[in-house]
Amino acid sequence: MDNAPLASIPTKPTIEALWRLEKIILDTLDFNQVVIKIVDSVLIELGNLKRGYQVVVLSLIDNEEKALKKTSLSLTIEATKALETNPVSFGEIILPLSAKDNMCVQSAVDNKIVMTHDWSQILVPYYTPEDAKKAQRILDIKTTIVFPVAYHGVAQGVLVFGISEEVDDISQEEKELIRGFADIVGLAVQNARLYTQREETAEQLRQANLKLQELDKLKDEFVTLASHELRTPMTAIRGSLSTILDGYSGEISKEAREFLTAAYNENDRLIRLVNNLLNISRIEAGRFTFNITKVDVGKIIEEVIRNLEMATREKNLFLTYEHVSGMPLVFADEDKIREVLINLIGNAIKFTHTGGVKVSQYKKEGMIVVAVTDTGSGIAKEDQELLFKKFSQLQGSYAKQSGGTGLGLYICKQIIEGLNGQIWLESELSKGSTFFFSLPIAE
Amino acid sequence: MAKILLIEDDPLIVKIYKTRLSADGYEVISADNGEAGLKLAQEAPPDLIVLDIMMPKMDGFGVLEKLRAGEPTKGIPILVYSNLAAEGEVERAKKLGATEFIVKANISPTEMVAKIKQYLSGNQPQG
Repeated sequence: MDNAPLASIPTKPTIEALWRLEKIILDTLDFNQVVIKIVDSVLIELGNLKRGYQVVVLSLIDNEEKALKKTSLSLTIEATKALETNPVSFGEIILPLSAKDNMCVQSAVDNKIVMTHDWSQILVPYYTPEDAKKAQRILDIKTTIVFPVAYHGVAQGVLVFGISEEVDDISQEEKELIRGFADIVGLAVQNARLYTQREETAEQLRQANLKLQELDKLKDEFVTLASHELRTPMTAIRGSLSTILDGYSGEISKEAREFLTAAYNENDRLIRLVNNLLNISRIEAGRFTFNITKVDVGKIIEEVIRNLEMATREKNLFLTYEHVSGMPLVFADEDKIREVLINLIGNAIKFTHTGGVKVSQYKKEGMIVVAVTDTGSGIAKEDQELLFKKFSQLQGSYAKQSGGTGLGLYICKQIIEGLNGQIWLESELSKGSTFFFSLPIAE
Repeated sequence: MAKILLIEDDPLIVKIYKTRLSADGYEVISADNGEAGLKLAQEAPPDLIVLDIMMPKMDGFGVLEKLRAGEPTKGIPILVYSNLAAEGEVERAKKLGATEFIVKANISPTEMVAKIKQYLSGNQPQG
């Protein structure tokens, strides 16, 4: 049999049959379903020809195993009944592509139609010749035709047709129909493979994403719990020390007071560090949210100053708030503004050794501007723009005399900009610095 | 003088506030778990409650919910005082009726006492 292009015009039933097959294939995207529907509908269409088609098998090439593997099989009712009385296990039917004497392999590899009356030729080496002939006898197959299935010239597998009549050739119409089937099958198999692959990839991505979300949640819970566990002892230390320092447990010596004040301030630094680390983890996770209400900034400034008084007392610095009455409220997140002020005033105290820190607020162009001015070491011009970057410990004026993570100002910037304000500084080396931030006035 | 109830399982925190508030003349009672605190509050309603969250038997959220559910504790100022500080927790406490959520680490005892006094004087701070 040859595989030459057909010159004749397809008949109407052929076109209709191909159209039906195409429709079925278009309706189904899943690979496993497509291959079953293909053999079922091909058998039905061929049954209409009443030429004794009993079995249709689709075998596809498995590129990993380098073999033709039975993918789906369809039987007529008669053939099914015959198998019920004389069971034959078809098994997987795996035919290695190296089995050159196998006619299915020949058909697929050489892209040609082959015909045989002997099943041992299409089932070698998976079946013994005896078993192959026995199965053929039970199903009452006299003639078997193997059609190659290809897509864009690449062999995909074969369609195997078992016919209950002795034929030496098939009609032009059958050939045409089967070739049409094989073409559609090639396309459908390719599409379904791609689709299934895409689905599998999508599913893998979904799983990976779910896992990441789970890990993220676990990390979040861990950070929350860990920061709680870190803060608890630090809070207890602060409470105890301040209760002693405030004189609730009787008089203490000047020297004891010095040491206890130092311990109190170091503990406060730890608390700020934990808060900053927690903030960073929230910023990085994109979970930094703002709870915006109308806020009295002056009140928070007073509060923060009272909280940091111990630190200035230790260093013998002044820390003042230039209270101006009648300042309007701002739109802000109270807790986050508190953190900004703790960071800015805390920094100012840290870098000031004589003099002190002054906090003030004023109105400007619909905003309230808060200024934190120190008489500290000042910051060189070239270092100023680095300040608000993450982990920006300065090389020059700052680094040698200070610890810290370099996270504080980065967090301040995230907070203030998140609240639609701005943060900046003015500074001169050895004269001191003023850090400003602005927040929108609430009307 | 006003009566303050501390529902707090950390004995050190209880001691610190008992020392400070008693020195200022307040009557301070305490419970070291949620269940006992709830019972105390219902039997002899205080003027103000300081409530921790992570506690044995019943956590602060549970206590808060029950205190707000009915008389005589419905209207008592409740300052939730905890080292949990995730947005979700703050929001949850506020929804359940916390007067204010205070992160322990962010406030000194002096400040906390000032806050308590403000609430008791009826001159409520914003927040």
